[in-house]
Amino acid sequence: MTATLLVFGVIVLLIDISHAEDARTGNTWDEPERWWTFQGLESPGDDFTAVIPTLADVTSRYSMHIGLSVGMAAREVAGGARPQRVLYPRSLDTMLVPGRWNNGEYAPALAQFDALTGYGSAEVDYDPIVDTATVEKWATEATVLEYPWNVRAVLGSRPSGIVVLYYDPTERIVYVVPQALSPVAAGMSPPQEDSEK
Amino acid sequence: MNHFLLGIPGNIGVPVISALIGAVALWPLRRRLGTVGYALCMLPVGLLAWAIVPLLTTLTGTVMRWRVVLPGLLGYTLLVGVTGHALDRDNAPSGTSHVAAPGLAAVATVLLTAGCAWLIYVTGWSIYTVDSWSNYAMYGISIADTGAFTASMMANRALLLPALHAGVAFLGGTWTFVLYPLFAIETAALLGYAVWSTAFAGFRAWVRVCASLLTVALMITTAPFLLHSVYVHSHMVSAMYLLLAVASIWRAFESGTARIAWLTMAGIAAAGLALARPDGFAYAFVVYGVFALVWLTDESERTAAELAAMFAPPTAGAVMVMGVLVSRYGLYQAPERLGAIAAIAVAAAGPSFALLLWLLHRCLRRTRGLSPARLTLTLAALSTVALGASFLIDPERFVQAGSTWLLNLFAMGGWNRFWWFGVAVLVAALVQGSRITRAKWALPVEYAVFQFLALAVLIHGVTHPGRYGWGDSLNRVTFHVVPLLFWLAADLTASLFRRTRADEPER
Repeated sequence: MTATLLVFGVIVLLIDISHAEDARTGNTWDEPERWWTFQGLESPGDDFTAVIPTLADVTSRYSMHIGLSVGMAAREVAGGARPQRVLYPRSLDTMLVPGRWNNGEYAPALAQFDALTGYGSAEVDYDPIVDTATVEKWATEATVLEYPWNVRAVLGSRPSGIVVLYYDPTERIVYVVPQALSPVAAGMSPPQEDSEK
Repeated sequence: MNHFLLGIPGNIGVPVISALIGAVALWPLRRRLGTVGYALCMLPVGLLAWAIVPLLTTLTGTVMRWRVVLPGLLGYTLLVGVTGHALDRDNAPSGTSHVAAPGLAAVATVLLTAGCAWLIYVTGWSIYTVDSWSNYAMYGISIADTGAFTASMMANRALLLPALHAGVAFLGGTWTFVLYPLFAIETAALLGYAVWSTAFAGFRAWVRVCASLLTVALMITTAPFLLHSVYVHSHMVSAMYLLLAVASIWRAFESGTARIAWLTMAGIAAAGLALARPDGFAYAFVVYGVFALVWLTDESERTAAELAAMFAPPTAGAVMVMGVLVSRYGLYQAPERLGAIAAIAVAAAGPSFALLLWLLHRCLRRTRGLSPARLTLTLAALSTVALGASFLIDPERFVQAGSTWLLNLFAMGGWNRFWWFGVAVLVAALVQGSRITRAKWALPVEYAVFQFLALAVLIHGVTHPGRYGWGDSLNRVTFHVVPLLFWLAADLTASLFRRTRADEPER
C-alpha cells in the first residue's frame, strides 16, 4: 500500500509539472480586487520605482501607488536618499491624477510618500498650482524625470534636502521640485528641520 | 542610504556579507559540522546577523550608518564564534574530510552565493503583493532611513525580513528580491543533504545521488515552491529555517561527538524561524517538540549543555527583540496581532519548555529513554487537546477556517494537485507502522509535519476565518512543511527499498 500511495503521489506531481509555473492555475477563484492579487512574474530589478507600474491594478490602491511614485521622485530630487522635508499643500485632494481604467481621479496618499521619505513630510500653506510657463521653465532649466502615475521629478543642479510638491491641473501631473526651483520658495516657511540624530 | 560597498548592489551585498559572516562565525565549529554541514549552515546563520542592526539603531536612536552596522554585524559574528568555540573547545572532526576542506568550502560557498545572487540579480525576477511592497519593502527603507524598528513592524512582520530589506536599502537598493530565490536554493540544498545522509544513508553512492536529485527535482518543480521562490514574503525563509532546524537535530543525535555543535545550529535555526514571521515564536515550538521527542527517547546520556545549545539562541533572540521594543515603546498593544505581553508570554514559553524537559529528564533518567512511539502519541494528544480548546473558543470560526483551508489546499489555493501527493505521503507514513522497518528518522519528521499543521490551524482558527484563494494566510503558511514532506517521502521510499531489497545496502 505504501508503494502504491507513493507511486500515486509522484505521478500526480509529474502531471503538475506541465503547469507548475503559475500558482494560479489551480485557483478557480477569480478575485482581481483582493489584496493578494499579483500580476505574475515581473522583472523590476532592484528599483522600487520600476515596481510601481507593475503593482496589481486594484482601484482602492491607486492613491497609494501615486504616493509611492511621489516618494521615489522626492528621493531622487534629494540625491537618492531621504529628503529632510517634503512640503505638501494643506489639501492633497487638489492634486488629482487619472486612474487606469475607470475614469476616476486619485490624490497621492500621504502615508506612502511620508514613509518612503523618512517621515519628514510637513503640511504647508501655499498654492501648489503651477502654470504652463513654470513647467516650461523647469523643462529648459532643469532635468525633468518621468515617474509612474503622472508624477515628475524636477532635478536641480544639486540634491535638495527640501522638496516641494506642485500640480499642473491642465495635464494633471504632480511635480516634485527642489526648494531652490520652487516658485513660492521665498514665501514659504517650512517647519524647523530636525537635525539628524 | 546609498552606502554602496565597492559599488556592489545591495541585493548582492547582503547575501554575500551574510555568507561571509556565517563562514567566520562558524569557523570554530567547522570540523564538528563537517565540510558539507558547515557550508550549508553559513548562509542561514549569517543572515541573522542583520537582525541585530535595527535593534542597535533603535536602542541608540541613530540612523543606519557603517559605524552602527559594522559593530552590529561583527558583534553577532563574535558572539556566535566565541559561543561555538566555548561549546566545542577541541573541535575534533566529525568526519574524515581533509584539514583544508572547510576553508575551501567557505571560499566556495561565498563565491557560489555571490554567483547565484548575481544571476538572480540579472533576471530581476520577483512576485509581489501588497504585503511585499507596503510592509517588507517600506519597512526596510524606513529602517534604513530612520534607524527605527517600531512595535507595529514587529507585530505585522517580525524582525528578520524587515532587517534584511533594511540591509539592502542601506547598501543602495530600494527593492529586495535576490534573497528569496537564494532561500529557495538553500532549502533545496538542505533537502538534498537530508535525503542523502538520512533516508538513503547506507545505500550505494549512485543511488543516494539519484534519490537526492530526484527528490529535490520533484520539490522544485511544484507550483507552490516556484511561487515562494520569487514571492517577496516570509514563507520560503520559514521553510528553510524549519528544515534546517529539524535536519540539525537529526545530525546532532547521529553524529556522536558533534551533538552540541549541531544542536546550536538547530537553536539558531529555531531563532530564525521565530523571527521570520509574527507567529514565528509559536512555530518554534515545532522544533522544540522534535527536540523533545528525540532527546527524551535517545538512549545516550542527556546533558544540560544540550538543552542550552538548543534553547539559548531562540531565547536570546526573543529577549533582545522584546527587550529593545519594550524599553523603547513600553508594553505596546497591537490590535488583531501579537502585542508585547502576548509576544513575551509566547517567547517565554520556550525556556519554560526547556525547564520542563529538564525536570522530565531528572524524573526519567533511570529509564535511559522513553518509547518514541509513546512520547509521540503523548505530544500528539497534547496538540489535540490544544486544538480542541481553540475550537471551543469560537467553534464557528474554527470550522470556517478549517473548511476554507481544506478547500484551498485541494482546489483554490494554487497548489494544483500537490496535496494529493501530500496526503498520500502522510497516509503512507501513518499506515506503514510496523510492516516496514522504520528508519529512526521517519517518526520525528512525521511529527514535525503534523505538529506544524496543528499549530498553524490552531493559530489561524482562533484569529481569522480565512479566505478562498492562494493568498489565504493559513494556505500560504502550510507551505512551510513542504520540504519536510519530501524528506518524509524519500524516507518512506528508502524504507521500501530496504524491505524489498531492491538495493543492497553497503553496510
